[in-house]
Amino acid sequence: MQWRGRRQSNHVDDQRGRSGGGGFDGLPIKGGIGVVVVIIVISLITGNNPLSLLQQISLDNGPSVSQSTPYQASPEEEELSQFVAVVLADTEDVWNHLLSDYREPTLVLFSGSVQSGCGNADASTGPFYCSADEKLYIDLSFYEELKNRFDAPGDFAQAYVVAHEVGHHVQHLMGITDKVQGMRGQLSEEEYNKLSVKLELQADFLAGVWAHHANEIFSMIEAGDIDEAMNAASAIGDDRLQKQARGYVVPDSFTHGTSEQRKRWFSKGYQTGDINQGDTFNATSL
Amino acid sequence: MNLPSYRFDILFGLTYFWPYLPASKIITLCSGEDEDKATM
Ligand SMILES: [Zn+2]
Repeated sequence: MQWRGRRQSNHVDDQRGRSGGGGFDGLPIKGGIGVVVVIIVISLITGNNPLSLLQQISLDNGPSVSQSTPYQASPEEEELSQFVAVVLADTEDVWNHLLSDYREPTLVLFSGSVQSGCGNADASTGPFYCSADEKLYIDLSFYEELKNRFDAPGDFAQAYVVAHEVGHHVQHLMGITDKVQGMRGQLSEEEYNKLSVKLELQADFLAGVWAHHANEIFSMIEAGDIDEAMNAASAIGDDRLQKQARGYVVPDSFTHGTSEQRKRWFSKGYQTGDINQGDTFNATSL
Repeated sequence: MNLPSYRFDILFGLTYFWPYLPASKIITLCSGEDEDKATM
């Protein structure tokens, strides 16, 4: 992908070297609201001030590395942060072009763990989107994993990751995400998983739509780029990941779609460039 | 330890509403290693 010298988005919030975010540095417990509730309960029982309790927990974990030490990124990682800022700018250009009232999301770069509007997350969560704060979150170390562990190298594989998360943002703007998440309490886990797969495949489709239009505007796609994205989509299919992790697959537990499905929907978006072709929720077959 | 009675009320309330606390709305790129994360 040709990206050097192109516009970088100014909606990048670089939080690398700042783990956890405000006050929760190094807290070993996951899940924002859960942590708060546990601390309130403990403070009610012991009669302590919840804030001092929090401070104590942070102190117990040793001095916090945040703020004082500037984050030391390798030259490769610095280049990667510039690359994702260009890809984000490309998504802004494409989605502003395709949607009349597009709100540009923020990309948060983090290292280790991060406090999002949807709760605490760490690098093991992988790249994610939070509709509550309209931000996408990426720990750049994931790209190392994408290349080595998932065997999906290439800059366009990396661009696909950003475009997929921006796809979730587009779904949020269209009201699709809220509708799906609102069904969670009313459905069995299996039924909800099926909806989740449709949501994820549509995000892959929207990533393909982005690639189509970005190439129309910037002619930035080079030989092999689309194969890189397809290979990445395939590498993170539920069937592939489950087979690698436990040796067998449980289709009812799929939440993101199979390798074949993820490739197919990305490809459909790329080939048509037409958002109206991406109704995974009413598609007769995925 | 002397606990004022209102603390028990709050504790009880929190226990009662525990299952209704909002699930995480994080939407990921792919399913993660730990299967207990329902949000994947
Ligand atoms: Zn996703």
